[in-house]
Amino acid sequence: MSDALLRSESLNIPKLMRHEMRLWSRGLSRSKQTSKSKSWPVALVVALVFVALHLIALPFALGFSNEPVALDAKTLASLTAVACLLFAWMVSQALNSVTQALYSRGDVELLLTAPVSMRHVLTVRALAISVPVIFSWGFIILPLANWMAFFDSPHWLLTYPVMAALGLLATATGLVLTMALFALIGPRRTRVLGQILSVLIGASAFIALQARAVLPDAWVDAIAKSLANLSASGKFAFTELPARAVFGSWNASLVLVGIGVLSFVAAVWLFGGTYAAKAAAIAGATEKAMPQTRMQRQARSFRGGTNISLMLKEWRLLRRDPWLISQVLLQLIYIIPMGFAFWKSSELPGAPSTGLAPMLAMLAGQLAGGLVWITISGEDAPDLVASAPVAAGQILRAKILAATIPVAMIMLLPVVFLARQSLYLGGLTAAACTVAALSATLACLWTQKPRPRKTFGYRQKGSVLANLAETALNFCWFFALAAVLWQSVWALLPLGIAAILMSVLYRLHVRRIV
Amino acid sequence: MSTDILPALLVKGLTKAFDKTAVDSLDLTVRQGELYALLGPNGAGKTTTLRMVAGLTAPDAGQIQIFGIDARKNPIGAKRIVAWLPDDPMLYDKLTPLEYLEFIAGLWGVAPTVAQKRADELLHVLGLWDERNARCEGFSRGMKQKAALAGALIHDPKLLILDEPLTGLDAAAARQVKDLLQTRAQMGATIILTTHILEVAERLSDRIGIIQSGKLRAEGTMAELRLQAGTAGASSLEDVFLEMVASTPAFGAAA
Repeated sequence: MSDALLRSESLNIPKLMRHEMRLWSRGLSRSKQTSKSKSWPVALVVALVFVALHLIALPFALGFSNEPVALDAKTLASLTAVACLLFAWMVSQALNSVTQALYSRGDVELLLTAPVSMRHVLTVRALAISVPVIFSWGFIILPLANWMAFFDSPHWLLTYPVMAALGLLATATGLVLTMALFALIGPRRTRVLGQILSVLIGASAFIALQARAVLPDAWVDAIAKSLANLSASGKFAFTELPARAVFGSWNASLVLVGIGVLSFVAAVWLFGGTYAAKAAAIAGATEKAMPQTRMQRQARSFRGGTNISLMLKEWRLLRRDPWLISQVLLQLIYIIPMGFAFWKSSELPGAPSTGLAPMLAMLAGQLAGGLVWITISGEDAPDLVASAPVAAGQILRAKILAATIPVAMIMLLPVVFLARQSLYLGGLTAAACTVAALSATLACLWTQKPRPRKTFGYRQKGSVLANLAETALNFCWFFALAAVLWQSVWALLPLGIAAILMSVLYRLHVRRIV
Repeated sequence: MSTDILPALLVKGLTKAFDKTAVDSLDLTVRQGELYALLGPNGAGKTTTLRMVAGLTAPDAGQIQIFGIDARKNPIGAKRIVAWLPDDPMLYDKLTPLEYLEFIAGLWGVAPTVAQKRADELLHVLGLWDERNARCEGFSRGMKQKAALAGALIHDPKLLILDEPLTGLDAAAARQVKDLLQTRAQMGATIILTTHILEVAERLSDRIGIIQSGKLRAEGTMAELRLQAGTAGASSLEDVFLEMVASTPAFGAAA
């Protein structure tokens, strides 16, 4: 327990909140430093990023402020759409945080055994969830609002209370959804489903953003018309509250803030009484043995061989961890719309499905990156594997094979489909998929950070740089293959960028191990 | 040279330093078929020593020979006949005990039919048979420890290294594990264990080594240790241990 908690006479909300915020800020810094004097670089980096985001937002603000922005139907619809997307992402983030806070934080039982009101604990937990939600999205939105307030009108500053209200409402929604899942499907399944639901909500918002590029023009027009009719009917006027608030409506602002605060207080009040029981049920759920399935009860012979054993183990672990595997597979939701948008907009020469090829290459890289990362960095018993009479290289090869064989199997069908249209296209796509998977594998190898899988999240790769580099590599293979199919010399540009990225990752790896 | 007269473990001048020296030119010999208890206060270097023997931590200097195999030159050969069981069981929560044993048997290259037979025996002996198809995530600490012990024994190691094997076990489970270790020792396996439960070391072990500040302070049977400590004839291992480690200034810092 922290010194502050030890010193305190009673654990009230401000003290608990300070404890939560300290944990959050230390999580941000990911530093092993614990002394107070070392916390200022985090604050400095945060401030610098905020300033940098203002610089990025400046051209946009200047573009908007050429003439005074009026709240016409089009602006109202656009701002409402932005607010809805933003709210969906906030709910996604809050839902994920609520699940994490209930299941992953090691101090739940400590707080439950402390002589503190459970409503206080849940209030602080919920506030600690809403603060990062508000801050992370505020970071992106508020620089633009600040410039608009400067160039256009001060009413844009009402974005601040709007963001806070949306964050509180999103946190309350996350709490309600989690508790509803808890009541419906029980503690064990809630963890997985809650986290999958959070990704699905976020991904749905992303797909909605892509709808214009993905859907046929006639569909987009029809949807726009339906939305305009809905707006005109006034049935969903409450969705326009954020837009009206940032345009200076004090009534809309007050109503929105009221909704945010009341929903937050209501959710905390409603669930505060049962929070202890829920947390206890979660602890109990992990103690209860998993029921045996019919397949498991059947007697089965052992299979031998080091490689087979290692691959079997990896496949079993992957299959039985729906949260991790869903994290990887849900990336498809993010990539497929982009691929379809490219297919729709490009007129590549050759077979009718040529536009699919670059998307497949990108998909292969993304999937391989995800699975290889899980198998080589997520190891629950590293000492067991290290103490086995098997060379480290053999273990690594078996793990990589275990991760890439499923990718090859997934890619096989579409590649055969393309090859039936044109052997050249099929061969080229297979080669590009292989290169993409190989580069993703190497990137994971060079940036690996082994740790137990139970403390593991797909999104928490080795570093931000590793994540960005891997995504950039996949885009490189996408554009390189598209350019090759176009028979354009521009293919050299993404290939060159990919080579530079690989070289940077390799050098960082060498520097780390020396 | 016949392998029968080779020591099971021969450690010479073993040294390892992290921020400070953890193991300091340690010499240690464990005979074949012996149950050897390595004792010492917290931070004495017991686990570091055993991790180096198991091939998990690279020594800075020194020799490690396991049944005559140079563990530093031929780590794969040495690992083939060694099993390592730490206090925190090395398990996969999402695997069942049977799947876990199948995995380990595969890593150690045990023939599947032999492995299956041994797995059945071990699961029966350790009282895990009814749970053989349940995932380990629902197991208690003691059940996890027993599953990990089954994993350590599935490849029939000649040298079994156990770091605090009785941690978290209830009385019945502790008895099961102790009986199993004694049976293994009677069958010819060499066992090295660390424990803070001195009664266990006193009752189970043939010889005891006391390590402090990375050096071997004393070694021998209980009778020999009593002589070295100069304690009375009926003194317990606890008396001997406290007499020996308390007589050095490092004890206060380590404990």
